Amino acid sequence: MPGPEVHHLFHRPIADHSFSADRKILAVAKDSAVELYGKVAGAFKLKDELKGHDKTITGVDIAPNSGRIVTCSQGYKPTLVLLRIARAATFVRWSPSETKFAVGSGDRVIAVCYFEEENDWWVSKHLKKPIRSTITTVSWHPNGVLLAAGSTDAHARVFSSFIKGVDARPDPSVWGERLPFNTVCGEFMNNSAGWVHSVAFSPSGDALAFAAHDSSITVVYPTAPEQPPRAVISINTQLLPFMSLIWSSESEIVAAGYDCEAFRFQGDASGWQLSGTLESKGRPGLGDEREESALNMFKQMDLKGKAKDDTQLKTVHQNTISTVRAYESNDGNVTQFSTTSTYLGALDANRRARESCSPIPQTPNHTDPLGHPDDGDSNRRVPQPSSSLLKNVSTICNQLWMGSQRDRLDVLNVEREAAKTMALLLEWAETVVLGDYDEWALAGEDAFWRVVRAGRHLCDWLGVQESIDAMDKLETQLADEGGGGTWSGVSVSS
Amino acid sequence: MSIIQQHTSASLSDAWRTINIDALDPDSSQNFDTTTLHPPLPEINEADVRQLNAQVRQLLRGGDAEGALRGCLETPVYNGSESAKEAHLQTVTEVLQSIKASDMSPMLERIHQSPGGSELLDVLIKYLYKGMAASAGASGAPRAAGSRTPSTLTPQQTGFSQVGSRPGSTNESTGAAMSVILSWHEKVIEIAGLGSIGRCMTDWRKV
Repeated sequence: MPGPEVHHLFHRPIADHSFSADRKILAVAKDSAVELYGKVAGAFKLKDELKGHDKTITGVDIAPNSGRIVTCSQGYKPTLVLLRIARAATFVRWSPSETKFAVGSGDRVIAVCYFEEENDWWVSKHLKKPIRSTITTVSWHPNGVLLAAGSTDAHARVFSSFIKGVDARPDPSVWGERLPFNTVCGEFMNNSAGWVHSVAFSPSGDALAFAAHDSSITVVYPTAPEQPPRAVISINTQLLPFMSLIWSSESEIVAAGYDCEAFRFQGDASGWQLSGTLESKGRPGLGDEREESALNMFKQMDLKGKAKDDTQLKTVHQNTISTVRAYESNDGNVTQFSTTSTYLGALDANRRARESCSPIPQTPNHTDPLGHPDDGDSNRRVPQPSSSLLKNVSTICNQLWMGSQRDRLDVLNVEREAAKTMALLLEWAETVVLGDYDEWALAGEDAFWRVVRAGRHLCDWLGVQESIDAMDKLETQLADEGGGGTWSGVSVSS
Repeated sequence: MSIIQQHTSASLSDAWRTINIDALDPDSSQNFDTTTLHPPLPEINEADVRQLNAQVRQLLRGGDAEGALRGCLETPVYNGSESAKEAHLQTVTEVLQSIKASDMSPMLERIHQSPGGSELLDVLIKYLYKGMAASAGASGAPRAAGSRTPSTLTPQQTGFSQVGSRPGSTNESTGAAMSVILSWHEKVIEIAGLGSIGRCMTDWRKV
């Protein structure tokens, strides 16, 4: 087995990560952005950054075939998917069919989101009962209908997330035959009932494993619906708790967590045991100890009060491993896997945290919640206008929300106002985008001027005289040109 | 007060952010009995504990210290009256104090290797922590009827010497009891690992 590849991306905790199907793109959750890394000559280079969340991102997933990326975060704001949850979203995963995804949340629900053709929009259905606490993790059954979820109420549960019109009727399995939405196909807990950190179906889908905060993993083999499972095997370990686990085959589980290294469990319905660590000791780069000269020893004693520097762990990861994912599989057996850790070089992280804490640094004009880009391009925070209207509006919404977050202690109702404006903006943007071009020409000036009026509203709301003047000018110009492209430029500059 | 004043005083302050919204949500964990999440445990009353205590003592007299330890760890009092719990702690402490320091590790190793042994050591850890709490509180307020009576404890040499008396433990024998517990704690963690401490903290079944 070749040694691990170690890519050090940055000094921040990684909440979640995901590889694209060809493993050339790596999406990593970093604070409130998702960074996309491309593999160039054996190293991961930052390619792009996806922004849009204003709070810490808790989950990211790339759909293997379609390449769509879904993320979830602790914050809330108008987004393209209506989750209808009032608390932080904690975890997100695409279903194997890639037609829907599940979002776990602190609101004691799992939102199963799918695209509804009729409304041309992503909508969600809630799995609610009998969840009693925050959902920490979800995992899909290979059939794309069953969903396992772990919760801080110490239960691992298996639900049906069957959605008519989206899913094909699944074959009967050990979990059940008829599976309408929100059927609870199983509810499990282990003896000491710790929080569940991770759940996973075996490759066949006929067994379920979960890791809990009591340092155990539990494997469940169900027999038939409404029947007690034929085996529930709990392995209590001497180790610290596991945060994440995957099945590498029907008889092997890889789990990793607070011990900063991955462990291998082997077994079947008759019993499971811990069979050792996956870490090969003496990895180059970490194991190489400096030459033990007497001088060096005294130097260390003088500097640090001890001869050996033991501030580094002997493991690849130097802090808790938060996610384990299958990286490459071969005939259904996972041969390589990737882990990310909450690598906190404490000092560095603190320094960076302090830097990023200064709210919107270069806003020249404090009465202007957007940070006005008209009077010079000194403001780096406002991205250049793009040719996509939606993207521009989204940028504006971000800026609005950021502004409101900054001002929320000083300005009355600023959050509400911001949300209201954002809702209006989105509405206007939709009017433009959804307006058919033919229809546009037919409907003529009416719809068009409605959008221009929207722009005027925005300028008035901002109260920036130059923009209002610019708006006046542009209105006359636009009357001649009448194009959506120019409009998108306006929306950013205003 | 004008409406504007009311509005400002209510919304300008940050106090609303501290409202416990869980209390207002009928489905929140505050508003249902969390014990309903777990299957009920069999209730053990004081008479059962006394009977077990007699059996354990008999085993100890017969020289089967390991059997005595297993016996009292296999029936932890999870669901019982406070006095039954205290009485069982008393039994466990007696057994722990009667085992020689040199026998601890091999005995724990054997228990850990046996089926279900890891669970037994988890129970032992729970009683060690309970014992620490009891020892620390023993010299404070006198306990209710049925509580431990430190004078009956017969401390054994464990290899640990108590360096002076800790504040709050004026009684010689509580200090010795604590010393026994600490040396057991060290040995158990060597074998059961940090995982057992984590389990003791997460476990909803309290002794």
